[in-house]
Amino acid sequence: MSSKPAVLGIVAILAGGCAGKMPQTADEFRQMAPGAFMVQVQGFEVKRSPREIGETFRRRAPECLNVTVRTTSQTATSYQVIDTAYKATVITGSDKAELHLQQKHLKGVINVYEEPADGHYLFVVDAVPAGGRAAKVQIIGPSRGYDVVVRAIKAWADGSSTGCPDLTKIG
Amino acid sequence: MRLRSLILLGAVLAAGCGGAFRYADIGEKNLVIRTETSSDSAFSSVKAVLGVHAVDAQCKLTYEGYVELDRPLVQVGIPAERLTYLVFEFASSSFLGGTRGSISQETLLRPRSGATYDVKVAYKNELYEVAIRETLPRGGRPRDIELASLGACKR
Repeated sequence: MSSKPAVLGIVAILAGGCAGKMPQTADEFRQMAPGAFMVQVQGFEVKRSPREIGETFRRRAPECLNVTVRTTSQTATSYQVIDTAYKATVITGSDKAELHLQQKHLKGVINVYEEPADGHYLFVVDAVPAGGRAAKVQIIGPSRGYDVVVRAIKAWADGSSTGCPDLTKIG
Repeated sequence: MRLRSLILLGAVLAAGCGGAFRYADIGEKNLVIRTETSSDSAFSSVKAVLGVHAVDAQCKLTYEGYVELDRPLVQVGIPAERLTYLVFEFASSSFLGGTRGSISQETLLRPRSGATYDVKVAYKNELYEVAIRETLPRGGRPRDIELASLGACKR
């Protein structure tokens, strides 16, 4: 699936589930995304506290995810350029860590619905205590096309890697 | 890491077209760059390139050239006690789909005189990482250098 159909599909699916309104906040995304077609909710436990996970999110997410990416696709009959800006927001507390990732197409994709200023919500990740030094992590995001982002978030959460996802590989 | 991909894609494309030029190394090789790239597919490739930019007092950049990180170990000399903007770019291309993309990691670096900087550059499983560790001339424990965006130049 190329980037453009994937993006349009997710936006349409989320909007379709709510009569033409896209989630405007992370909370709205949490409420609207589960159960929507092509949206996946993943949950897992890690042996790190929400505070530790939050520190990793705070250290890595802005550096890795606040980027603008240009992707080009060329076939014998078409040439497509898409500029996409990503914006990560990290919220941490003593017993929670949140990571929100928004995506805004600057060029190459026409939005059908009104989206938040920093783009539509792509991922919302929550880490909460699970007893001891463990945490329960929930990732809400697209069910396909964004594996590299999910891999990076999981690695940041469990502490196995601090690598940045190559956002040119999504979609 | 802001509009880096756009800037760098331009640099790589320019490099491919002969519009960019190789970095003219200085004598003392104070950057020791260890590169590991893997595309995880027989139908695609990943190329790592370093772009070197001088940074003046107004934080303006002057492009000084590129270094291909096409070997596991590449040593580069950049001026000590001067601010330099290093742009590590990972450019991937697919042989079948005609798709290409690039992503990069940038940092400001003001090398200390006599110090050496171990730079780990990795791209694996579609995750990339650049880490820099400084070792002072008198030895001692190496320390990790936090990557700094161009915005930090004005602070």
